[in-house]
Amino acid sequence: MTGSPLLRILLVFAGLALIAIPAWRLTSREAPALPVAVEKTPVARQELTLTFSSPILPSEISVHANNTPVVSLQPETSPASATVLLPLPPEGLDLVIRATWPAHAGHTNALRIQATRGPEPLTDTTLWGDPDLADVVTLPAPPTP
Amino acid sequence: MTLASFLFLVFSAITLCAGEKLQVASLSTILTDIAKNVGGDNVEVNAIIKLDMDPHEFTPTTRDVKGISRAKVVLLSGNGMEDTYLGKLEKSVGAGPVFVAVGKFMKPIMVEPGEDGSGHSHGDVSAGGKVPDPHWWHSIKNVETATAAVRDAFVRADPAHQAAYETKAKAYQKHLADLDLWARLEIAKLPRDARILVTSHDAFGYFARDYGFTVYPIEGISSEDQPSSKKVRAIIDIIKKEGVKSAFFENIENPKVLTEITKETGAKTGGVLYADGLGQGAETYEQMIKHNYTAIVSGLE
Repeated sequence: MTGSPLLRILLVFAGLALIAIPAWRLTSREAPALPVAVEKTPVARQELTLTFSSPILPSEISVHANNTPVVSLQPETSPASATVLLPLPPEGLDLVIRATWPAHAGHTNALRIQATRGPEPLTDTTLWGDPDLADVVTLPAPPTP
Repeated sequence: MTLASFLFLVFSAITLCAGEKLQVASLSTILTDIAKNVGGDNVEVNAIIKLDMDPHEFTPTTRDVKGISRAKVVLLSGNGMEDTYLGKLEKSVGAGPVFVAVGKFMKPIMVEPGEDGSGHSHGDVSAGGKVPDPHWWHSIKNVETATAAVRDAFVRADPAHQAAYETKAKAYQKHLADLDLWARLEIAKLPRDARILVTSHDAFGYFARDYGFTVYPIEGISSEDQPSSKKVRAIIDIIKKEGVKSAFFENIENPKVLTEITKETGAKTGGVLYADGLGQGAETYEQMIKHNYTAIVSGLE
């Protein structure tokens, strides 16, 4: 091709630029979308009732939430209940339940835990001790009205 | 040859066969650990993928192929982890070894291709274009399922020792159930609204599912894949907005990105997590779980 070298260089660069845009689109990998961060608002504490039932009375029942003691009972009857004030964020709340039984109780013991918010059931689950128990029960946040 | 000599030879042959161990090759450090626990003295496990090796980057050498060809059972993670070389490998070793892809025995989390932390697609693509997340070992329940799959593979290959495999598998599953309880109690120390995990690559989907975490992976803190500045900015914004105290890395190959993130956010590096398998300092599955979970809880508390 004859003509100005400068013009030739400009034409080459223009050609490369035309190719570059579709090439970049073909070769660039779109990063997968990140989970959306949820706007946090302070969580109000709510009154919950925890009810514990067992065929053989445990010597002691304790409940922790977020590393904080919530309930400590030496139940005299079954079922035994406790009313607590706890925050229930949208992610839910883990309760760490521990229970011990007297020596005569045997090797395997069951503890039923029911949690309610007013008339609304949050969870109803049975945990097993071998003989004593330590386990986690997750309270889901109640659905927003 | 006298009758006594002949009988001695026959008896020796029988004894030798009875004493021969089931030869197993493993393409996963997790499965190596499971195989040793289930097989005990009745198996010899050849760990093709060794501690601290990245299974995403692994390609078998000629020596590896030779070792695999001598095995009766070959254990794979499955769910696409070995797809880049599995076809060639099966052709190379011939009809002898039985390949067991353990991942097919569990229900996978389906993810977008490229989200599985490898930089390339794995496994069978679903109708929606998604692929299975291959990192099933980050759910203890999945490892219980894997134990049953390994047990069954050993029993099929070596029925003479069925009782031993079943007993050992049951004991190991009980051990895993105890580990699962430990894990639940450990993770319960963290409020559920603080369960945000910023990691180097997206290997913790099953962990997130089991314990209520949200994972924000920083793709590309490795020599293989570089995160875009847009991605890094998004991660920084999330750490600031959520008040995330620590970010966790598998290995720091791109200190520039790490420095940028911790400098801008004030977040600490919460330590190294074992994501793609076992390594020095976490040479059993139990050690890996306890190391990871303890680091995550103490980093985010």
